[in-house]
Amino acid sequence: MKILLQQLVIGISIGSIYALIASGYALVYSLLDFSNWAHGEVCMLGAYCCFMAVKVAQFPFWLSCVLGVGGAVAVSLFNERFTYRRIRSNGSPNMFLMIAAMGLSTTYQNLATVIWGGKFKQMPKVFSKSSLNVGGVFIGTTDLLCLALTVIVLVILLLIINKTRFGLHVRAVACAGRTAGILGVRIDRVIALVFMLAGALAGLAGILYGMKYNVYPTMGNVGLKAFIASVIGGLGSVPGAIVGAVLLGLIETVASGYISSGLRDLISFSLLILILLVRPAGLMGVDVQDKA
Amino acid sequence: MSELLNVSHISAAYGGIRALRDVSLTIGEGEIVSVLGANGAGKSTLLKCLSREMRITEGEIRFAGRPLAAKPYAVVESGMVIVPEGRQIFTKLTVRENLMIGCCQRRDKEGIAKDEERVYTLFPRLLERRDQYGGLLSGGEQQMLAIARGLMARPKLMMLDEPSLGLAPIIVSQILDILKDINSGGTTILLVEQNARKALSISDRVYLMNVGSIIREGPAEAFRNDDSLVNAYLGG
Repeated sequence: MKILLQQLVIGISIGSIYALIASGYALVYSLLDFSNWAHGEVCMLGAYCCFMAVKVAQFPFWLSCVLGVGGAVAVSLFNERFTYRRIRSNGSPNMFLMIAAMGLSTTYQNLATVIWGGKFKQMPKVFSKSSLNVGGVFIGTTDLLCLALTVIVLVILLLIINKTRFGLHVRAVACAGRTAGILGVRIDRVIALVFMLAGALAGLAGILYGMKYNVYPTMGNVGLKAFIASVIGGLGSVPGAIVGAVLLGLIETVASGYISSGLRDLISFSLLILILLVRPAGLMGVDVQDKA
Repeated sequence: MSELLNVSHISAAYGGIRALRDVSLTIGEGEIVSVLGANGAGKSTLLKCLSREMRITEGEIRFAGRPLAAKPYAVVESGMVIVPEGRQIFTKLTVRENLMIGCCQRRDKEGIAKDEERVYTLFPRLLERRDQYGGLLSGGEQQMLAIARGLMARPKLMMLDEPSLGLAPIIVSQILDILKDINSGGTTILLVEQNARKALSISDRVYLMNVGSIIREGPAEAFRNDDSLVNAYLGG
């Protein structure tokens, strides 16, 4: 029983990182109907920015985190402004956006390898490896921090989307972009802001992931997990992405705890295919058309 | 009467196919002007050019004495708003949220609250359904919401694309009555319609379009009394 509880704690913690990435994925998908494959690399670059700031420039850790998030925002905005927007204004099909995103993803991975090398970089041990002992279940400080931060950030995100003027514009564009445009919503600005928001979430996720494990050029592959999470939840739905992410985190850790950690990815990706076969709209998604 | 909209010699094309050819029209402040024509005459294309959703290849558009803004949102900001064909309600937003998108350019909270009250007086049904999703409304209610949403921008000129489409005759008459009310409140109206007789009944002046050009213009009475014209180009 204790082992199961222990696994659940770890699962929720990793699930919360997936949730940060998946919600950004879902936001972009809801507006533009394409899967932003470069989103994982935004995480990775955010983590490297933070690492550089704290290890090379010797900035205090909190400032480095801000810079890491800022770096991720900049990369995400850059992708939108100089790649996706151009493709949209050419009137190309959505498939082009997805392919461009794949190109960006590989470019960033290789760029990171060239600049920083392929070796694992360690984030500083800001939070001691100590853990709280709750009735025999050990909760790592980093895990706890992950969870707390994620909950706060995601609550703020949901409030922004559902309660603010900007959020209303996002939902309007997601519902009918053309109409929103002719009624006066500044679509390109809304999209740019959403990319920045998604970038910030990804940057935070990258830093947390880097603290939990390490920083390395292919760590952006965690973005694939976030993609699976948002398929489980229903592509384009932010609450769905969050639920899917926590669920995936739990399934993965329980599976690696009880069966074998080598089977973790096998199980996640099989789940992806299973969902697409059995329930393509996901848990909370509505439309299943044109998933690119 | 001063001139509000002046369209002079505009052309537009889809790819290589010309959809508008040398179209000119003017609308005076306070008028109700109809653009009539059969399916494919270029009426909707004209509106797309006026809302700056589509690029014009030639000609000039002036609004309220100035060249028309180049971006769709800036057109709305300058006081020209479109009520699109097929209503285009945001189905996953509530009625109230739909209205709030209509005034997305405005910052004057009190003015917005006043206009919201005003549209609920014009369309009491919308008040009853204020917190329901737009997708749950009937066709007539959706058309009312689309008009109300346009009004929330507090436009000088409201352009309606086929507001009668797919609605029962009694609802169409109701909607036209409301358009007359809105017009007497000071909003200029450009009505694009296939349903000629209904549109003629409330219009001051009329333009008749056929294959991308304006072929006839004049006061509405002239058209009302000319059955051959209506039958030849319009029907209805």
